[in-house]
Formats: sequence, structure tokens, C-alpha cells
Amino acid sequence: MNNYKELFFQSVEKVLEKMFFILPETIEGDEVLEIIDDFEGSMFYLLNVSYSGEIDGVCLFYIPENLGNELVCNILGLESSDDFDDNCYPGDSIKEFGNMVLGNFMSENLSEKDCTLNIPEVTEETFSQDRLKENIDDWSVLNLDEKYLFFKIDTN
Amino acid sequence: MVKLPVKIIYMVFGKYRNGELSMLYNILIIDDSTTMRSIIKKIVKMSNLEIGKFFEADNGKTGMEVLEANKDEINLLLMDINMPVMNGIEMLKKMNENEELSKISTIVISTEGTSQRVEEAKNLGAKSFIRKPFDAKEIKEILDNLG
Repeated sequence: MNNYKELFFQSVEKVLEKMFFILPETIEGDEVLEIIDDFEGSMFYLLNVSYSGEIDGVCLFYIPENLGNELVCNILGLESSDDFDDNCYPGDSIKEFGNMVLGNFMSENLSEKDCTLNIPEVTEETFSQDRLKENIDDWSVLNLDEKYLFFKIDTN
Repeated sequence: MVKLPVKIIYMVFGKYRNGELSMLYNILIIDDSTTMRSIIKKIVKMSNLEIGKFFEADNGKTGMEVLEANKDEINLLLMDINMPVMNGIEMLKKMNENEELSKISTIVISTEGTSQRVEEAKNLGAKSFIRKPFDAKEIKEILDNLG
């Protein structure tokens, strides 16, 4: 794992544990390829969050729908998605998740750099294993109670 | 000198607690995330503050509008930095252009915790800067110390 990838990984774990009360388990090697195959064609949230300035960086997260719902429930202390009201929608919690991960990464690793965190974007996309397989070593995968989170950071 | 009945004082300023008049807080929460506004509101309710009204806004521009329309009531601001349209730093600068608004207690709760951003917010009058991800206890402690 290169340095930025490892540091970013730590920020993802920290935010999941501290704000969403989820203890993630790392998935590596061949298991990643098996998992990727299982998700071809499924609907995912694609979260894109970036920073710019003295140095630039872009992070991508693939978040399955059921994990998106769990993030909302956990951060708001709800039992299930049946308890969602007009103020609960996964896109908003997912954006905040991205904000916190990258904000934490910047505070801890780029504190002396003049960089600005940009507004995150969330879209719904069909999962494409080809997109991940092209640069499989760049991606990290976490198992969150049989829900899988895929993410990577590109920085210059 | 006209003496106001305790009930009136209570309605306007707060209430007696342990024999002392405590401040009533009307709080404006500014964050573009409804999730985060909801969490912050829950934490505020858990604090020892005497809470009057909550106001909400989803960016600095609407925050300024709410603040200007309710400047006689709002006495505490909990705000994010990284927001669309007008960010928190720009809003703090706007508030500083108005003597009355510049005196309102402001706590920044933001993901943007680089040392430059923290310093900038504090120079513009923010009392405290809390980095996300936060521990609810950390915010509660800061609020408890206000009250």
C-alpha cells in the first residue's frame, strides 16, 4: 500500500468507527476479485469528493444501496430505513461521510498545505467491475457486515 | 427604576437555575447537510444549555438572511465551513462587517480542519473550532461551558 492510500484508508476506518459506529474488516487479494464479480450490474452510489489548491486529490467511493441506508440509520440513531422521514436520505449522509473522510485526511496529513475541500457529489450508478479491474491495486475494499465499500484516492 | 416580574425575565432571557438566572439560547445551525443539522440539534438538546428556539440554514447566504431577520433573538451560531453558495469563512467575514452580528458567539464544526482554516476562523471571531468526525461529548462540553 502506498503512503497516501494507507493514510486515506485510516481516515475511512476512523470516520466509520467514530461517526457511523461500524467496525470494518479489510478485504484483500483474490477475495476482492470474487466480490467485484458478484456486484456487476447492481445499483451503487458513486461518491466523488476532492480537494484542490497547493496539491489536488480526488477520492471515489462505490457504496451499495443497503450500506447507504445503514449509514443514515447509524449516524441518526434510527432502527431501520422504515423510520426515514423527509430529512433522511442516503445521498446527504453519504456526502457528509465523504466530507468527513477527506477532511480528516487533510487535517492529519496536509495540514500545512493550502488546500480547499470541494463540495462532494453523489450519483447513482450501475456497478462496473471493469472500471475497478483496470486499476485494481488502487482500490481498497472494506467489509461492513457483508456490505462492501470500495474506495480509492488519486493525488498529485 | 421599573422592576420586571421574574416570569417576564424568564421569558425574555432564560430561567433561574440553582438560584441564578441562566441565559436562554436561540441557536442558528448552518450546515448544508440535513443529517449533520439533525445530529447537532440532538447534541445541543443533550447539553445543559437552556434552549429557546432553533433556526436552520443550509449555507452562509441563507444563514445571513436568517441571522439578519432574527438578530434580536439569535445568540449562538453553530456553523460548518465547507458549504455551497457562501462558505462559513465568507459568512464570518460578512458578520464582521456588522458590529451587532460580530458579537454573536460562534462555534465552527467542520471537516475542514487544516491549521490555516482553523486560524482563519478564529481570527474572524469563532470561539471554538470542532473538527469532524467529532465526539458528541466534545461538543456537549463546549456548550455546557457556555451555559
